[in-house]
Amino acid sequence: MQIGIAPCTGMGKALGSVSRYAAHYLAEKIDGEIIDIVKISAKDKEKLALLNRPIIVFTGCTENCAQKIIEKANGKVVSNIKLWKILTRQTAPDSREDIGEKGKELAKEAAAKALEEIKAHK
Amino acid sequence: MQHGIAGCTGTKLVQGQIAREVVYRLLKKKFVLICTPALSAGVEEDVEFVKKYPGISIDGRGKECCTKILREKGAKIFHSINIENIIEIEGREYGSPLELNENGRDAINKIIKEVKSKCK
Repeated sequence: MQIGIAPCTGMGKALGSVSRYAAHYLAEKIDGEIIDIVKISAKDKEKLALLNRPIIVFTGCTENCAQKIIEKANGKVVSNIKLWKILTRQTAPDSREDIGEKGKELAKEAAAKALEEIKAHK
Repeated sequence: MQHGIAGCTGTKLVQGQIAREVVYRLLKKKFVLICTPALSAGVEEDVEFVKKYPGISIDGRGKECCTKILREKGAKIFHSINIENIIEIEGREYGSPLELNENGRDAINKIIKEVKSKCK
């Protein structure tokens, strides 16, 4: 079954930017569809229809907006990768505008962790 | 007076990245960031801010998700910009949804000019 991938896309923090990269990296590795949470909030019918599949969320801050938005729209979040939990000094992103190489490394680690969780689910 | 600014934050289309970079650049011009997903999820700080201060929305497409969310939360929107009304999207390359090319960076300048003309 195709997986939905919902990054938080938050703009206030660098980990929000990392979440978008993580979503793209994961989508390259699996049969996955990136879901824009802002479109879900705006009740875009085409995007709401994507909520009929298991959804992996990448979260950039403790507000946990992506999960809240998906669940409010009756989507099922099967995994939530909280980026600050896997962040290390070696993978700290440069800034929210440009996450840099270290931020991209963190995004790849997040995508790999999501992939592990998908395999564990099967 | 403070002004808020919100962008579309779309993840799959290049317009989302253009909107994000426009917003980040304008933060240096004394705009205050409204995080669209946070506003949408009801984060109090963002919800209170949009009710109190006028804001501008930068939409990536005609679906105008960002503006819809601001309106739903009772924001005082003084101007909405749809990127597709300012730059030609069809048949043009602006980079990827993660990183813009030279055309994309030129597009940012055009949009910032438009925003500034509305904020005089």
